[in-house]
Amino acid sequence: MSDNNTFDAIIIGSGMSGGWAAKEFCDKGLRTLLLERGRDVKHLKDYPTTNMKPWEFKHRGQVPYEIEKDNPVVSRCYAFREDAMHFFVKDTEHPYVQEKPFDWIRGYQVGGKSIMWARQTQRWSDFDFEGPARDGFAVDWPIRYKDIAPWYSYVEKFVGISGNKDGLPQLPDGEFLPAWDLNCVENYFKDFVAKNYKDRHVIYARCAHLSEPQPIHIQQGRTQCQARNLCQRGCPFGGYYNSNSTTIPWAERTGNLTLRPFSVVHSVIYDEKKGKATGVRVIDANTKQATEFFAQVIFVNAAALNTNLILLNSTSGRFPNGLGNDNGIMGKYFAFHNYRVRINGICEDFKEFKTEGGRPTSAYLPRFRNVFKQETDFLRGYAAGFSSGRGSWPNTQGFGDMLKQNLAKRDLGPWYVGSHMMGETIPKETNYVMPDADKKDEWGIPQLKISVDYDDNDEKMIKDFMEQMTEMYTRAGFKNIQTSDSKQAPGLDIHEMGGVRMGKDPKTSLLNEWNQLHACKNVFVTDGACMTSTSTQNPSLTYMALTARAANHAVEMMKQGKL
Amino acid sequence: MVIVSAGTAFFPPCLNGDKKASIALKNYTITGSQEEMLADLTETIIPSGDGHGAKEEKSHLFVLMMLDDCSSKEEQRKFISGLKQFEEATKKRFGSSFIKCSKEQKVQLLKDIENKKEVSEETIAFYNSTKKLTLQSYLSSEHYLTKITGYNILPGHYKGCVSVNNA
Repeated sequence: MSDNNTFDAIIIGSGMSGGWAAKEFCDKGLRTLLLERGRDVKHLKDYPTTNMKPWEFKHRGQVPYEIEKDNPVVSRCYAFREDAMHFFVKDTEHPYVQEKPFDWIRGYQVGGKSIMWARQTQRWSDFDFEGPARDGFAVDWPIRYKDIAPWYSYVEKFVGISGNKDGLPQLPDGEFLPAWDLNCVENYFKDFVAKNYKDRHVIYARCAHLSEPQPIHIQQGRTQCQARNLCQRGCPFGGYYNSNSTTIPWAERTGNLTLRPFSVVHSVIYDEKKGKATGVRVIDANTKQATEFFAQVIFVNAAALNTNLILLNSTSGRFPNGLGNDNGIMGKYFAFHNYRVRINGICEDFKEFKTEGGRPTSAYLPRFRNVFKQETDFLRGYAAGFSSGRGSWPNTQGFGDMLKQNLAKRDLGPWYVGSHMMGETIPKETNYVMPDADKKDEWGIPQLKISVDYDDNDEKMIKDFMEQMTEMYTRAGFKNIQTSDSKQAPGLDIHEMGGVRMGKDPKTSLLNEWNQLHACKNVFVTDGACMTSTSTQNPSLTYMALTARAANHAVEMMKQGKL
Repeated sequence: MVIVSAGTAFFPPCLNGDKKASIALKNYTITGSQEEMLADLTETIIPSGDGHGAKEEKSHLFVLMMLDDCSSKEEQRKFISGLKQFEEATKKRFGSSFIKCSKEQKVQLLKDIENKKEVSEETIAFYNSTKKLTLQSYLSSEHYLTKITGYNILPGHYKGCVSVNNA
């Protein structure tokens, strides 16, 4: 067929994982349609704030009151500030139904949330993939570390990951560009923990930044990270990885890509005679006009929650409850990361030292609870960030000449130290998402209803994090130690996962070991929706590796005529 | 203590023959003389001194704009009410408006506010908002960041442990 609406492959969503599917398919010569519900964002051209200085922002970074008041959910996101708020979905634009409080943070544009992500890239290990089977929750992952390891390497080389080889079985090493420094206090804490705690480690947090660009990165048109730490605006150097600077232009240069912004996917079309999916129904975001596109293979990469919504909304005679949802568990076993707790303090030593310049990452404590064996009264555990630095906050007492003189003094304060919790949560049937029975959006698609909450395991883990970290900080000699529980709703972690989980058995899972729907093999899900369990690591690197792996498998199957 | 005179409650500012403010505001109004007073107050908080302060930064316009764009209606109401009480307290005490006070009188007045001495809560709140926003304007200005803190949008490198004596 040669009409304009027929392609070899269709990808729904152009973010972190969709960009990778597009690159792989285009490299393999497939005519590929990349659908994006939002506007286009071209690398360099569409980063309007990227070079702005602090004084050039009208409100000096603050979000105007009316916007904040009308959009309480997105306003809770740390990156929703004057410099990057144009990349976030406002609550008022795309309402959803919160059966329980859930902060759904979204980026509807080409590149999705890959523009504003926090760029942390830690690998999973078999302590993660074997977790559900060992500890008796969810279902067993259909893959192990050895299945994904080469794809981690494949993705890391292309993306560019800064890191150290740490030799830890629970956090496997990857293909690393040089690391930035840890500072005096971070190195002190690293040594302290290594000496005083068996199997606890403080390492450099691996991140998707070009500390030393390789020829492949130069070929992509990217260059050295300048440590600006303004990444959420889009980077004029391509110093960090996003789809806009890397996978999408790469796919476009093959001549095989059709990128279609403003394309809201209504559903995937299932052909009962052929026994497979044949295409997707798209509603134009602006005109509301419906169009159908067709392809042999369909990748659903709309980000975890919207991928669930699209599949659940893809009903047919064969699949009355959503595409591939024979067992009725689609949308269930939804999970996230527990980011509620912070611990802060100060270090009174190293007064004769300071840091200089900037860096886009910090230190990291890989999970140390229940790794090698079950040792607490809760399942799984948490990782933690760790960072330190010295501020120079001027004295703002008084007014007049004295105040002015004080403001000109830049005396360094003590070193602050701080950590945040990244807890694994246990996927449960009672944590679910589903299309709302009544409410629809402007495009005639049901609004998503979300019913996700913390549980007793999470509360026990919070208590343990506070106790263990307080003990480690205290023994390390840190002072003014304070823990705080933000009680934030699930979702603000922006690590929502599950609902269309992978598994070995079609009775208890939806996707097989290649991310294909068990019951409709030419539809693949490789974003957060596919996750069987959540581990503690930031998940984007794993989505990218799973996507590259699945796309290459799809191409292989197509060659063999099996899709 | 809150003092509202009958006069200000009944007559809108323009009927008093007051000038218009130079800044267009969406959510509240102030008069030209109130704007002048606010400018004088911000300059008293951060004087020009070495050549750059609230005056050069036009901090009073930043205060008014931020109050307009980034505050609730209630905060705006309190600010205006506090501003009027500040003016009235000044007149009662020194027999003249703030801008006509001597430097010593201004210093005495602001010291009393900072020490919460015989001033209304809204006057203190007005002063604190003005000071906070004046500081924000100055501390995030090009002058302050480039001349005093050595701001650089392109650090390019990171050294984790250098001597504090390094420039």
